[in-house]
Amino acid sequence: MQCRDFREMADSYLSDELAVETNHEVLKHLEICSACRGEIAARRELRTRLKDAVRNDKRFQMREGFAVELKNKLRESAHQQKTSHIFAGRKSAAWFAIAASVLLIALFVGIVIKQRLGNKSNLLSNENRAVKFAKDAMAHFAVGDHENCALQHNLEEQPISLEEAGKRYDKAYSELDKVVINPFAKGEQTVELLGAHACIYKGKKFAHVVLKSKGKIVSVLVIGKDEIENNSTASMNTDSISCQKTEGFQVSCFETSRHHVYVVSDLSEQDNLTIARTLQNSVTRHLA
Amino acid sequence: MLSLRRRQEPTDVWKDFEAEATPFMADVYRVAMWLARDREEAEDLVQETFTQALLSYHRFEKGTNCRAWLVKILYHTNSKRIRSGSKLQLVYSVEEDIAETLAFEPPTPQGLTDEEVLTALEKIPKQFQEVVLLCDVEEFSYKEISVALSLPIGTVMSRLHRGRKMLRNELATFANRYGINQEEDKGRESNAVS
Repeated sequence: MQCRDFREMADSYLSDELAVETNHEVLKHLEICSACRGEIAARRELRTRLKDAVRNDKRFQMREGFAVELKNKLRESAHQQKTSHIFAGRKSAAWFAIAASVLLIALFVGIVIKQRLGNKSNLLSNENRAVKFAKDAMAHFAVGDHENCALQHNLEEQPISLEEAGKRYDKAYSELDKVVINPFAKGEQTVELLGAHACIYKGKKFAHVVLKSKGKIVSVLVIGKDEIENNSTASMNTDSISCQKTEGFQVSCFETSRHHVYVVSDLSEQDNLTIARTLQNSVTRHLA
Repeated sequence: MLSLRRRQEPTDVWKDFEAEATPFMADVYRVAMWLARDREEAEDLVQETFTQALLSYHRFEKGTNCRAWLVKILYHTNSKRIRSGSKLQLVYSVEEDIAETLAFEPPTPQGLTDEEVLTALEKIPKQFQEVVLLCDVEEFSYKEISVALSLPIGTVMSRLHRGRKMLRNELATFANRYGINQEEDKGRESNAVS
């Protein structure tokens, strides 16, 4: 190592920042070079002088009381942090309690609403089931009447005229035949009126309009809701027409405010439904 | 390795902080005073530094150098004050220009007074002053200075090298002016040239 190299790294040597190998080289050089020993001593002295100069200079020393004042402020700040920590904890607990309460209330309200809706839904579905059950049951009566009255003329009691039925049972039955056939006058579907009367099948009083469409007998049977057992005031849907096959016949059914109307035939489902839909508005208005 | 640290209760924090950090108040004040050159400003800076340190104490890793950590916060706080328009702004010279003037290095003079040493240190540019102060007065390692000043370690070493040279030049000027150690210096100069 040359003196020039030594001088470049002398300060790092004093700061103990040299690598071990370089440190060894410096020490070896110092052993043989008195000038550099003098230089390193001078730099060490300068460093000590500099340190003392700054540390002893009153400008760089804290004024009396500053450390105590600052420590007190910091202690107070730490205490405030603790308070705010506790407060934050209490605040969090309060918020948690509020949130939990809101959740519980929401849960309770949800359960109540669900129960009520469930009850209502159950009630409706029960009522719907009852209405469907009644309609299904009456569909059998309608089919029976269609078979025994319109097709086989095999009723125990003789039918009476609609005018007479209007007087005895329900005045809406009067002129029902016209109400049933009129809608077909403008339509493309050819429907022929064969007859109209009121008949009783197994104790059920029907207003019965007999039509012919596509060579097949079609019965339009109207029965008062008061004739139907287990009848409910609830309605499934007064606008809708259901169609089902009962005992080999297509039975379309719709209801008005006081009656059930059945269209029974051995037409296709589509044709049977078309007849029922065609006469529905006219019959519903008349029976209202 | 990921380590999970339990956040301490505030009372524990203060006890730890008081034992670990407050003993370095005088050291932090010294550096703050060097930066501010005004007692009131320095006190504000120290207060702000320790308040911030207390708030951030949960981030301090025990077993590491707390004094270096405090000085890092001090410099960070000072930078914020400078940015916010405080009068503590430091104006740095271009380092390359300064390096050009340091081709010749006289031997380190001896027998100087504290006042002369301080005056010489105050004469060198601020960016060199601060690294010399942190290393030679406050005895921080190069790495600690690098972290505190957010500078690459190479820049710290470079500034230290130049700053010390400048300081010796300034001191040599004093020594020559007052005839201190001229004979001894001549002897060391001739030896050094050989």
